[in-house]
Amino acid sequence: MSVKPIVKTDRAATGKVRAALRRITKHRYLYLMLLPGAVFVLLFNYVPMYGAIISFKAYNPMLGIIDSSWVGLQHFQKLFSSSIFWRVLRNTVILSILNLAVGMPAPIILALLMNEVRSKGFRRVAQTITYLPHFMSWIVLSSMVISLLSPYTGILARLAALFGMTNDSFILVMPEYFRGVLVGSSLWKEVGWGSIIYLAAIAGVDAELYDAAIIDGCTRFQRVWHITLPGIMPTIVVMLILRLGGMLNSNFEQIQTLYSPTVYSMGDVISTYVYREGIQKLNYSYTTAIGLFQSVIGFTLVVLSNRFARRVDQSLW
Amino acid sequence: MMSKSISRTQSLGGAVFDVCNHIFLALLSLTMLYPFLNELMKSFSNNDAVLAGQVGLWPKGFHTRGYELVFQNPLFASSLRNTVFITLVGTALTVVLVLLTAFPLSRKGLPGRKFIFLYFLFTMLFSGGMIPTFLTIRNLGLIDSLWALILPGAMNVYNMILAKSYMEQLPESVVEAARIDGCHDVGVLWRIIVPMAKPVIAVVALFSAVSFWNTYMSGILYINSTSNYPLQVYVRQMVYGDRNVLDEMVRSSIDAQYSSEFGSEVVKSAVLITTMLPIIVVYPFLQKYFTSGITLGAVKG
Repeated sequence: MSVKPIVKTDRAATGKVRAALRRITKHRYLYLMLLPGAVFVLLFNYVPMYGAIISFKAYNPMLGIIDSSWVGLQHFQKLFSSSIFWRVLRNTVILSILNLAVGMPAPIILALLMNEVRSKGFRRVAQTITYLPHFMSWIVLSSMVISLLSPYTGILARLAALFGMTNDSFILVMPEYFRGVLVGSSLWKEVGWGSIIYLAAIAGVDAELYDAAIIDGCTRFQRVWHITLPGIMPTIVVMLILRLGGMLNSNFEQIQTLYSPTVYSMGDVISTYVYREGIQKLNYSYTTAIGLFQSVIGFTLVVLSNRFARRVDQSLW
Repeated sequence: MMSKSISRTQSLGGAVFDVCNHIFLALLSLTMLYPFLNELMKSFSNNDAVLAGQVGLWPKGFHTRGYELVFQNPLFASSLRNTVFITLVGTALTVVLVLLTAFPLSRKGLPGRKFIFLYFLFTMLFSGGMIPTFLTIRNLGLIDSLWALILPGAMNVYNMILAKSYMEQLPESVVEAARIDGCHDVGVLWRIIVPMAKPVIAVVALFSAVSFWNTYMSGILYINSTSNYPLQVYVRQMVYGDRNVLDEMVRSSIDAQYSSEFGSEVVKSAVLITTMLPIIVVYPFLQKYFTSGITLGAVKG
């Protein structure tokens, strides 16, 4: 009596397993296709994640990751009591905030202005030019920034000379200007490219709303303020939240090609510091601890902001 | 009809705004373009004029010695070869890996699809960091090899998501029809999906080609010997590395009559222009896919 049902469920279970197996073998080519990509990600992303455990060890290259001895939280203690760590963390966050404050509204404004241009040819040329720097490497762009700011050959010095000012100091090595140079050059590279997504959003705003507004006697500015901006607000909010998630990432290539020891106080960020301490001074475990700290905080920020973005996404669209 | 006639009767304020807007955008474009044009002009100019800050949007004197020196330089040639290699191989590999992963993950009936997708997605959210990645590359024996510049970034998850959302929008019926005709999954991908997904493949290929061309960070992390430098690393070294190297190169290559015309400033500009040239050449093709690249990305960011 009591055995029978068990056998039955057993049979049902094996049936299920068999069905699942059949489904899997049916899709065997699909799994096979996934394999190379999965191996790449395993080797170049997951293995380094495992390797991050050396931040709890005294890593010795001769012994390798596994045989190096554990030291607990020693590196983190050193980290949190190091003034340089707090300096690079502060610089990273301040630069992110500055880049956000300037780099967030600028492409929106550019998109709104571009949208008001009726001449297709003019608009095309302006767009072609403003998108161009996005595709250039920081090596090329930084080299240009350096020569623009150069006290002798740069255009800045020549413009200053026009107004009777003489300035023979090199702005790039002056700490008080360094963050401005970074924010400005980022703007140069990304403002045009960043405006594309807003232009696409503007194109999606219901055209009938504009017609109705025109009949109601709205001026152009009023139309932008009351129709276009609210229309693209969901895009703006989502972009803002996603950028907040990337708060601890800074542009390594940009800073590495523009900074110098005199501006470390203002421009040295986590990634550049890790590069100097880790790759150049071979302080592996300590710098891995810094990187792990950054990854964990960054992960938390991204997950929180994505959750937030999804909620906004649902409530607004 | 109505709206057209109304919007055509411009108010004075509107007309003033239009003029100001055009002037502003023109000035902005010119400001953003100026550094590029200036670099181009300097690359043809008299070196002394460049040093005196006399070159703006027109060359002072005209010669192509800067470019001649750049192309005669064996290290520039080898770094250019390296970058062409990693761009071609890297782009091809990226496209293949992206297609091979995006297609299965776009099939709704695949058991474990969600979990496998998460396995890829997680690498975008969390990373082991610069040093553990460096140590991994070293343990794999890839230090100082061009493969260290290709393999770590080849499986591009962002591009994979792009391609996956594109494939998910393709009509299911076509795939079903092909399968009824006896096509297995590999055949479906190759004969049905790839031809239909051409736009997204172009986006992935172009954008990853640009990013391989601009490879710099992994170059300074993983490459030690000068002959294996990618272009951007060599250009950086040449332009802002040891001053004496560039000066020596110039001095050893010229005869007396060129001395005021020719010097390291001109070579610097010529190097930068040469480095940008391939991107400028593919730029019109890129432009065709701008909006699709961005809006595709916005589908699932």
